[in-house]
Amino acid sequence: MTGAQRGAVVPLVPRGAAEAAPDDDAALAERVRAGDAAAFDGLVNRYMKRAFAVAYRVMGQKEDAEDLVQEAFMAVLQRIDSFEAGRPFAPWFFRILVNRGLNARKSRSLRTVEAIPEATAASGPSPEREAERGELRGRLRSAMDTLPERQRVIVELFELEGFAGPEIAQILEISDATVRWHLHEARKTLKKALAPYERSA
Amino acid sequence: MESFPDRDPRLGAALRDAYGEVPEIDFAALRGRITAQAELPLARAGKSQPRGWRPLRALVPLAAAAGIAGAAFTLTRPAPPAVPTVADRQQVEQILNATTPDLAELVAPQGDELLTALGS
Repeated sequence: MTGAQRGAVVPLVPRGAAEAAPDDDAALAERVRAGDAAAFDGLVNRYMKRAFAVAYRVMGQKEDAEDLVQEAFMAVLQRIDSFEAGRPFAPWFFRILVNRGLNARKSRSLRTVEAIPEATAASGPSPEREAERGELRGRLRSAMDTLPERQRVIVELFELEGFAGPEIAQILEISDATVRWHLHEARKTLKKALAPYERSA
Repeated sequence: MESFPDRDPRLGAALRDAYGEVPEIDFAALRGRITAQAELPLARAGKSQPRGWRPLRALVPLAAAAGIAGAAFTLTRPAPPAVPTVADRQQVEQILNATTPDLAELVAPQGDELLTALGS
C-alpha cells in the first residue's frame, strides 16, 4: 500500500469495480440467491482483499483473519435470503464480517503470537531510537486495548483502513454522530499515549 | 450537518507502526477455499429456488391480505333478501284476501253520496 493510498478515503466498493459496482452487486446477489456459483465467485473476487484487510485489523492475526473472511462469505450464503434487493451489498457484507470478528475476538482464545512489524526487523535506526519506538508501540497498543471494542474498530477502520465515517456508520448500524463521538473519544485516549513521544520528536 | 474530522496522519502512522501493515497472503488459495466450501450450499440453493417463483414471492403477502379482506367482507355483509317462492306468494295472497275487505264494500255505502256531490 502506498502512502497516498493510506491517507485517501477508500470507498466500500473496491476501486476498479468502479461506478457500476453497486448495480453489479445487486445482480450478483440475486444470482447467488438462485445458486449461481459464478456470481458468488464474482462477489468473493470483488471483496476478498478488502475483507481480509478489515478482518486482519479486527483479529490481529493472519490465520484468524483468513478464517473470518471465509466464515463471512459462508454467512452471506446462509443469509442471502434476508438481503434486501435494492440495498447496497457492501455495508451488509462488512457488517457481517465485523460483527463476526468482534464476536470471535470475544469468544475465541486468539493465538497470542503477535506479528512483528516490519520496521522492527529491519535494520536502520539507532538502538536508542528503536528502543523509543518500541516503547511507543507498547504504549499505543495498551491504549488501544483500553478502548471499548467498537471504538477500537472505528479507529482501525477510519485511521488504518481508510473507511469514510458514513461507511463505518452503515457497517456498525449507528449514526454518523455516534461514529464522530467515538472517534473523538478514542483520539483523546490515544493522544495521551502518544504525548511523550510527540514531545521527544 | 457536522462533517467528519480528517484523518490524523501522525496517529495513523503510529498505529501502523504498532500493528504493522496488512500482510500479503495467497488470495487465490483463499478464494479457492471459499468457493469450494460454498459449492454444497449453492447447489442446495439452486435446487430449492425455482427461477420463476422468486419474483412472485413478493406478491404472497398481498395475496394473503386480499384473501383475509375478502373473507372478512363476506362474513360481515348482511344476508341478501330471500327470493319468495310460488308457495309463499300463494300464502300471502290468501292472507290478503282473507283480511282485506272487498273494494266494492268499502266504496259502496258512500259511493252515491260522492257522485251526487261531484255532480252538483
